[in-house]
Amino acid sequence: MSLWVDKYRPTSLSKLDYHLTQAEHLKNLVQQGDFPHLLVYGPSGAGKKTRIMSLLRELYGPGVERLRMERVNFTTPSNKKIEITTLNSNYHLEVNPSDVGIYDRVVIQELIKTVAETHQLDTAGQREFKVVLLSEVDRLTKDAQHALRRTMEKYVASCRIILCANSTSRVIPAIRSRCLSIRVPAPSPEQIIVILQNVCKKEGVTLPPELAERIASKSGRNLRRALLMCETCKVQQTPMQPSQEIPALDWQTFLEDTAKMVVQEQSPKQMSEVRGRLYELLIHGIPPPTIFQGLLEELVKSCDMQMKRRVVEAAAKYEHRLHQGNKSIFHLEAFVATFMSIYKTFMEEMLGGM
Amino acid sequence: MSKDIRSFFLPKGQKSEKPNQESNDIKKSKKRPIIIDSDSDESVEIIPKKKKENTANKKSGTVKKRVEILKPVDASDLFGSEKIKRSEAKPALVCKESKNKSKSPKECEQIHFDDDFEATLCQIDQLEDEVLSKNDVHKNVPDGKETKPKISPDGSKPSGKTVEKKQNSSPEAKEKKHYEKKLSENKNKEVVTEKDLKKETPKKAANLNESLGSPADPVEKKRQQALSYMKYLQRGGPKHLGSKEVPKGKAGCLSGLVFVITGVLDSLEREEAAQIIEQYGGKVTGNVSRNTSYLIRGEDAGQSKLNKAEALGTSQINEDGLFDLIRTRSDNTSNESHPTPEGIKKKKKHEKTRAEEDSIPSKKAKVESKVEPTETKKSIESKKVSLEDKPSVESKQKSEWKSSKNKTSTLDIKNQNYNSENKTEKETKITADFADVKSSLWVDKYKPTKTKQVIGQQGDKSSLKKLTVWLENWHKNHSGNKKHVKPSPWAKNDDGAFFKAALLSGPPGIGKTTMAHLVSKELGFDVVEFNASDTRSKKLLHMEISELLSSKSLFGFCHLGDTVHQTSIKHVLLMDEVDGMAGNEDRGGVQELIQLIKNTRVPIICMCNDRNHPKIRSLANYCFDLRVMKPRLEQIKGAMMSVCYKEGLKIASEALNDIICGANFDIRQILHHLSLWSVKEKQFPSGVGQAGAPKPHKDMKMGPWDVVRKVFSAEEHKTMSIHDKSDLFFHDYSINPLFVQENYLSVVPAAAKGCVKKTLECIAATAESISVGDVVEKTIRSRGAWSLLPTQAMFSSVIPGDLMEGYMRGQINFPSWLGKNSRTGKLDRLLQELHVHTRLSISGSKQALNLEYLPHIRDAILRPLTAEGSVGVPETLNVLQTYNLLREDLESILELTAWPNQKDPMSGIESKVKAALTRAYNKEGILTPYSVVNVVKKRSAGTSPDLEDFEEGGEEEEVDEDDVSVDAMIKAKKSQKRSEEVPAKGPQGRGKGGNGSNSRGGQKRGRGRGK
Repeated sequence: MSLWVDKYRPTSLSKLDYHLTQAEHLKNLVQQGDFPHLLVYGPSGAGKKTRIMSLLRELYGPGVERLRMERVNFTTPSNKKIEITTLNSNYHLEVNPSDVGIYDRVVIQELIKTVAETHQLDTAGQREFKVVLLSEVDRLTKDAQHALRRTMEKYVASCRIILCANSTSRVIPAIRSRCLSIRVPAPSPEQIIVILQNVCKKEGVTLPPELAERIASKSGRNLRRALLMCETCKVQQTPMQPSQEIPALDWQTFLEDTAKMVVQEQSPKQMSEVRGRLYELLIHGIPPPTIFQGLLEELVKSCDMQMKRRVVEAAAKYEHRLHQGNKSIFHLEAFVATFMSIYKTFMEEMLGGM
Repeated sequence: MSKDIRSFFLPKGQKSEKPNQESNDIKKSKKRPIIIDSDSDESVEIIPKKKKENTANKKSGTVKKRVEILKPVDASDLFGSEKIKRSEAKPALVCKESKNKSKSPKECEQIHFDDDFEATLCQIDQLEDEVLSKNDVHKNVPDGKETKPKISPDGSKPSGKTVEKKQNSSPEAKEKKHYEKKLSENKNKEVVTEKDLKKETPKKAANLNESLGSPADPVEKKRQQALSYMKYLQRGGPKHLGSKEVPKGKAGCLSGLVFVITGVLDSLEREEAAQIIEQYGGKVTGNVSRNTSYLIRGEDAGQSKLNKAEALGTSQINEDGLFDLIRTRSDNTSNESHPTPEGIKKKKKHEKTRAEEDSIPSKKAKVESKVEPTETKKSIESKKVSLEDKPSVESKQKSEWKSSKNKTSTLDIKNQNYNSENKTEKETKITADFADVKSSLWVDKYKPTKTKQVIGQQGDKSSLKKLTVWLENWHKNHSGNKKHVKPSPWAKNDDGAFFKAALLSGPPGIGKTTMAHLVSKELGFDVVEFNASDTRSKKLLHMEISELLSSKSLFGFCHLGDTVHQTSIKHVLLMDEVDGMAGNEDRGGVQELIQLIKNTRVPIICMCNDRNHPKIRSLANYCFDLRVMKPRLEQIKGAMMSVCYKEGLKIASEALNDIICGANFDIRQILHHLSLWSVKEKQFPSGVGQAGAPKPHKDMKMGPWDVVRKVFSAEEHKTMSIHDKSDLFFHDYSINPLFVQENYLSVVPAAAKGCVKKTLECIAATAESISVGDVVEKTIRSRGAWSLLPTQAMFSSVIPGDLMEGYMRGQINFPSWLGKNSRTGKLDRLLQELHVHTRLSISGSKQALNLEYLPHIRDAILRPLTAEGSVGVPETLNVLQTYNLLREDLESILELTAWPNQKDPMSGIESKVKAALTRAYNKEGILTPYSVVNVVKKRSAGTSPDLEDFEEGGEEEEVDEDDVSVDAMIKAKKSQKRSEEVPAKGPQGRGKGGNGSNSRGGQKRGRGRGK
């Protein structure tokens, strides 16, 4: 038994639910027999991976779905042994180089080289090339990206590379120019509602349209999240009610509470408390930009226009620092401190004015 | 009146003495320089009375005797010496006089007076020295003894009086006061009368005698001291602080003059005055000596200083006098660099009027400090003596001035003559000193020679005591009769009987080696020492030491007839500086040492600095652990004071404190410092331990806690430059930013003054700076731009410290970032593993898995269990199977999705159900598409799971496991070998794959099954 989101994932280009024109394009691309390197990008939960897998299936047939996992070992120049898990079929290889952190360059160099240097055995009924699927390319280090760009050109005869990223902003232009970029936008709420209804129909449950709408809006156009939420709703209460409460995720609640604490009281003591909570969020692997976003969304609610501008400015500044710097807590804390200072001053002025 | 009394006994004694004394004096004058040099007492002791005491001590053992004997001797000394001095001093004065006369005949009379006074002052001066030299003379010259009895009949009267008084006087304060009054009367009188009466010398002598002799009795002196001390405690600051304008003089106008400040000045703080003097090139010393040109006295002046000044004839001025001096001298020095008599004369004229004005109040102050009633008496007396009232006082004042001037001028003239001589003398002295220093370092010179002298090791629980006991009983303990149990490391009263070796550890320079040597010596052990200068590799250690320990020392044979012969069989092996046993040379040294300790037949004492060094840690298991603590400040100070005393080094108490603290209680270092000071002092006779002297400072490595306290402390910032502040960062630049970040919130910034808004502003600014600091750090680390470190110091430490400067509220915490970071890493690894496991069925990235899937997966897994109990187990297993999750992964999921203040999702599940799940899970043997490698990481990818092999492998493993558990130590290796063979055969599936990997994994699984 798997979750709905996995159960009803489309497996071929023709079965996709939205962005149909794009699907058509992809189909045409594959049918031509050859295609350039691809850079598929789009927000989380938009269906990038689904599309890629469909594409591969279109390309190689159902054989791509027979996946196996492999562990590959590398030795870095500094003699550190690293290990990475790859997902292989007979036709492609999927790897997430950022799994090994700063040693991703080695993975790129070694792994892709070994794959690309060997040709397909059976070229008669198959394509001449293999596909290497690199996920989370935007998290690759600059070194690894530079290592990638020559490889892409050199082994183009025997290997196609499909890059999957959330955003192209952190992919170096050299790579961007070597790829055909395919943007997969997040589905619109309407599309999400349709999909939710379809899934529920298949599951044999009725989804009240109001609830579907609410789920769609709350999911932030993230289909995965929407489906998961929908299933939770179903589990909580069957049959589902239109007024049913949609349970928020724990970390979201936690983040919101933290933001509320910041607004509630501004003092050094409160600062320490907030710091503790920020640490907690970081420990749980919540990405710092997400924390920034969550905090900001909550904090601006209690600001007037003038203050909003300043707070957003501060958030932008520290979020930028965050990427430049090393220790995210420093910057998160600086943002909170700045907000507290701004807010306190504002409140005192308000009280003084009254 | 006392005058009459004096006249009673004077003439006789004087006459009889004269020849005798003269002869004495000649001798004295010859001997004097030598005596003074050799007698260290003189330089240390300021008060003449004390000297007498000392001499008395030398002469007679008991106190009583001292008192009795002392008096007559003093009297005689004083009598005789005075006279002769006079005759000696006169010629010089006369010639001066003549000069003066020629210059200004008008002043002639006054000068006359002055000279008289000067003469008396000189006498007093001489007297003082004589008192000292007299003792030696008495000892050395048999004639001296003859003088004693002769004089005693005369001298006994005054002295007898005092003694009587002292004996009779009950400790009532009244009488004492009365007595004091008399004393001061006498003194005053002496001062007054001296001027005019050349002829009245006998009287004067008596007078002097009394003034000097009477306070000599120790009890009286003590009381006086106590009184004056009380006064000292109660005295306030300057009365009219800053009320007077400090004159602007020429730079260096006071050069060559030495000042002593006593009492509370009228408008200046003492330090201020000292600063002013130093600014103009003068010197300020703490004690009156012959070099002192002026004694600046204020209210409540120190009696001892006054006495001494009087005795030495140092001229006394008040604050105004000082200002005048600056004015006049800066006028003069424009013409001549050295004040010549002429210059002084001019000055005198110039000053006359001023001096007149000043003289009265200053006089008053002087008198006030003594006993007031005497003023009137004095004036009456002075009337008697010299008909005019005021002029006499005036003239006296002038005489003081002049005498000092004369003195300095003569000194200067002399200087010119003797300069070369002095210089050479000095040089030779210095070189001699250096030679001295070289030949015997203070550290060696004052090395303790008995265990009792070791600083800070006198307690019953001290390491020294423990070591002694341990060493004493060593042979008894290890004779083989008794088996000792290894004590727990926390046992308090352990005498180390179990151990064959002792480990002395502690910071350098506190006497570990000395201690070990002394203890061994006192217990009659022969010491065989190995230190870092010896190669101590395994081989050498083995060879040399075993050889040494089996042989006898020749020492015993050389000292035949001694008891040493017997005891020399006892050896003790001293392994000094064991923490230095490192590098290629001494490879294996520690191990060998441990072996040696295990088999030794002699006690071994090891020494090291860092007890927590990893190498030492292994050694420490075999040693009686004795930690030598730093001695306390007072303990060191006492010992150092006595060293200073012995070396004749005068040092202020605070300065010594500074040195001790600066050296971080390192006694060796302190001694080195002191010996440096001592050399310096002889070159520049003043200024040791004065406020201006740079403080000795040992560069210490501060711990991050101290550093961060300093970073934020407003108190410390006052004395710190920006460089000092940034240096704090460099104590440990990797951890300091973290400490700052962790603790800046608990600082109460002084700038905010308690206002929350301001505080928050400070915090925001600080946080901003810290955030920039982090960016800089990233740049440094990622690009290797280490030249940016100072920049980071600014942003990460200095600016935060500056913005938040205040005080710490609460204690300083260790940076939680480190802990949190490692926890983040751990959870990230778990997540990574989960991601890998679920990869086949989930399309999302790791992050998506964390943010979106995990809570749902957790719920999907646990829901059947909570809802249906054991019945839900298959469903749960199904979920696990779908997502290729392990039982362990469930724990990871729980950990990843747990938030504070949230109830544990597992709490709703009965333990029975949990057990059922585990059992079912194990039974089912879920197959995964990946190899299970969480037990041993470095294992290449396994082959695909194989069901047939599963049962077999599992059983085989179980057998292995039993073996291991039966005899863990012996069979561990074997079983490991076997278990390594198993995976080679192929099966790497989930259940037994994990088992097969190694025995540890097997045991883990076994435990799981047990549930």
